[in-house]
Amino acid sequence: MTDQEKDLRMRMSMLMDSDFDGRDNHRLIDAIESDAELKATWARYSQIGDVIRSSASGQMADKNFATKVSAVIAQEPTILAPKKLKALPNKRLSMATIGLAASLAMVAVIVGKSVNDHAEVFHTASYSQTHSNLMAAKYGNQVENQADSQFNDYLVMHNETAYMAGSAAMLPYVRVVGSGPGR
Amino acid sequence: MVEVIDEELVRRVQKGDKKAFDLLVLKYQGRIIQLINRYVRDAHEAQDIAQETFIKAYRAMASFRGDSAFYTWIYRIAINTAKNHLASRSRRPTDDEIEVEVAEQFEGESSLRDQETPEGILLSEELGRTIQLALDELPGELRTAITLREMDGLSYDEIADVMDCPVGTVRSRIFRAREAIDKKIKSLTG
Repeated sequence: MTDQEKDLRMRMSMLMDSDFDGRDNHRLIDAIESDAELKATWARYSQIGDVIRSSASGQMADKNFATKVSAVIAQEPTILAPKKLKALPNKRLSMATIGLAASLAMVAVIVGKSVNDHAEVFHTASYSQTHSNLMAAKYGNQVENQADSQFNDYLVMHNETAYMAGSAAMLPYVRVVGSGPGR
Repeated sequence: MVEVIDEELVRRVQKGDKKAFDLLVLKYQGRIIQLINRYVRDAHEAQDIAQETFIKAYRAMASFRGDSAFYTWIYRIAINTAKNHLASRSRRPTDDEIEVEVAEQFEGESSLRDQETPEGILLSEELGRTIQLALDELPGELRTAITLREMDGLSYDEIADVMDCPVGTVRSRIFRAREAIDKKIKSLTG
């Protein structure tokens, strides 16, 4: 065996174990595919591994097994597989996740804003009602009517928009608490 | 350990390189036959089913995406083919695990029959015994290196750690072990 042959066989031994030394392994595989002696050595190296793993003589492949399979494969149409799509499902998944997160964030902003708006209106209305009671005591019916009108506006608006905050069940309570002295 | 070489060979087959499939057959024929032997006791039948397995695998290769290792994938095809074979022989309904699509693609198994000989099977058994004997006769360091690789599936780096030697030495020991055993079996395989 020449040094070059020995080197090829050692590289093949490494290749079988997926231990690459950085050299051109594509050419090495080409060489194994086309060189009958290297191919036979590849088969024997594989058989050695099989026997060591089975720790017994076991049932080995028939001598012509691979040749027969190869003859059948030769009659088969050549495979031209479509491009690999392996990464695509993960990408789709991550896009869907981002989309869902963005939607949830938007809903949270809208709901939060709605709740804040209501709180502000309610706070203003409460303040207005308290203030209007004081003013009524001071200025009489004119001011009281104005305050009633503002409070009614608030209740109507609240009734129309409260469902957005998911608080429809609170409406009767709000109506009772928010009603004026004459209602 | 990831079989990078298998991934490369599969890529080649998917690009139309049929010779790369030959290397996969040569690499896995023994393991597939041993696996099928767990289902089918008859050696001739096992060889037939193994051949059927590889042909099915080739025909389905275009759909193989590499989500699992090639060996795991062909292992599954072999099991399903063996179960299918047993089911058809005993005229029982087929197992629901059987890959119908793959099974339907296979039509040419009869052309592979009647080619095995008892002599060939005896030879393969002798080959196994010779390898085992040659392994026992190896110097301790070579036997340990190749056993850690083939039986325990350790990488070269891991073997270097275990044996407390450079990776280059591991490469050399495994190669020398293979060469020593190969020398003994070469005359048998002719």
